[in-house]
Amino acid sequence: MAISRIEIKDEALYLIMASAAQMKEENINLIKMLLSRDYYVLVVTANQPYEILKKNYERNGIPMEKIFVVDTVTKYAMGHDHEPVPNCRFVSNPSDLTDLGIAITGILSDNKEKKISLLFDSVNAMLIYISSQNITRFIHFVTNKLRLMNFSGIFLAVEKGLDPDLLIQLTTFVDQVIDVDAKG
Amino acid sequence: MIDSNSIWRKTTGLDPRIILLLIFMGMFAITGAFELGRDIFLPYLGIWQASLLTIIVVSASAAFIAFFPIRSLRATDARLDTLLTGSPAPQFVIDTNHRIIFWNRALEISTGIKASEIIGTTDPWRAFYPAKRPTLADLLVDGLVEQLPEWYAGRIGKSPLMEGAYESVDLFPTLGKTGAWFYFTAIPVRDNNGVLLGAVETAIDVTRRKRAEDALEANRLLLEDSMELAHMAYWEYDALSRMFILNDRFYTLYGTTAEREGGYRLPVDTFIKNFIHPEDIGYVRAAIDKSLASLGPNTLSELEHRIIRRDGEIRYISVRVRATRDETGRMIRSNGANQDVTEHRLAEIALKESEARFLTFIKEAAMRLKNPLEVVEGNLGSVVGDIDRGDVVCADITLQLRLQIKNIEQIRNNIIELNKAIVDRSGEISDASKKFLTE
Repeated sequence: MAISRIEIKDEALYLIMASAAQMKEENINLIKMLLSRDYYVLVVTANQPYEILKKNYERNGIPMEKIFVVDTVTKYAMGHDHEPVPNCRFVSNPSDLTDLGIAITGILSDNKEKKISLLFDSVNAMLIYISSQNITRFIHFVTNKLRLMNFSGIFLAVEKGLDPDLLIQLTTFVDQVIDVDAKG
Repeated sequence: MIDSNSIWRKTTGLDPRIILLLIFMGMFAITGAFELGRDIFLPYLGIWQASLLTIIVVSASAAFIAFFPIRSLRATDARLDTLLTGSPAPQFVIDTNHRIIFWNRALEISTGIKASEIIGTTDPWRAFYPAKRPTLADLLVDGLVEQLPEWYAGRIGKSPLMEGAYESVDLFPTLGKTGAWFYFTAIPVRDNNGVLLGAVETAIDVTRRKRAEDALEANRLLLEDSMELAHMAYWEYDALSRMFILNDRFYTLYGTTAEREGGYRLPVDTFIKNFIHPEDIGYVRAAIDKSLASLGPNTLSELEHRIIRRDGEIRYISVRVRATRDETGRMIRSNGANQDVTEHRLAEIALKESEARFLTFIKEAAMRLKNPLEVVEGNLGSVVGDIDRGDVVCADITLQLRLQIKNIEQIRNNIIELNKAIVDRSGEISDASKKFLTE
């Protein structure tokens, strides 16, 4: 299913499955689609550093004004703090789920009045740093937070890379699972 | 009951006391008769004719007086002889001098010793023992009750039926090809005044029964040992009273005693309430009801459930039940064997858990190796794409490559974690291999 055809409902949660090769492209498509529907987007990235992400978005004509970022990899890769950036919070390590949770909650709390959708990129990238059990717990925590604060959320994952049991657990946290590789 | 007076008369020839009595009676009778005969016959006959006639009359009278009661008693003896001789129980009788005065046909057959060759001797031991020794009857005739344990250590006891009688079961190794077991009982015989006349001993060959009992006992012990080894206990169910009939072994398996449970018969409901695990009660009740309700030939069924022993321990029990039904198909009783399979079941559960954990571990390992490599591959591809397009900002490329280096470091750590887990599961990896895998 093409991303543009996805009917995002307010306060709903989605698990979007895509191939590894398409993951970056789908990220861009989703951002475009969300912005076109007047969403602010909170991107939680465990794969691309903020600077790379920003350039990608800008290259694809995506303005950064309505985008918040929680960057889990820049400080981890650089080994030191990044200079402060508006709308972005840098977490020291992708495995530091406490810090990550605080960062997400902070941005959501600071923008309660806005129509925000969280974009989590990606479950598979997080598996480099933490166990599936901890990922499951963390996503459960995030989805609960989103539901309590009446925000929508999208979790990106590469289906072929996930254990079916983990996938089943993740599907129970969301309202709908969308496979963008599937025809229709 | 044997007529002791008759036994006593069963000596060969006339009783000496009767002979003595007859002699005295004869002497008096002859003296008197001669005087009377002389008075009667002498006036008519000569002295010799009178004497001859008197002798004839006296002798005839004496013979009639002397033998009439003896013939009567002999008839009684004859009947008694027939009874004893015809008895299927091998028997002999001795008098107070230990002389054998009776040896019946059954004893002749079982010992091979003819009555004619042993009556009158003092050797009843020949029937049973290879060397001379007292028989039970000999000891009782001599009143040597205190010596009984010495001759029959641990195998002698008072007869529960007859006062003064003793009985024993003993092996006689020299009898038959492989020895023979005899049940023998002896009782002293007294006359109406309590005077000891002798003793009767009965010896019954119980070899077949004893060997069957021994085989049964051996099988029982084997069964007991097998049940002990297999942690099993048997039980019976009486369908009429809806009661389980249990035993000490069963109670031991359930961590209790007959005393604590109030006996060996336990109503079904009490048994279920006291021992069946609450989560399994429905299942067990359904199995019992189904077995009771079903009609048809004798059936064998199995089920497994948990119990709570009296000490609170939860155990797994495998039950095998054979139901016996009447001609209408209704169950009349059932027998079962319960086996404690806790160790087996726990091992199975542990194995399943272990397999599940291992599978989870393998899947986790696959996810944490395959996914990251794909991510790294994708990111490096992206960097290459930027370079190909000429969209090269040195700082960006450096950052992306640094991140991939970090990712590869993390992947290496994940591999080491995986290897450590594998090493922990295997005891057959050399120290050198362990070092290689985990460092």
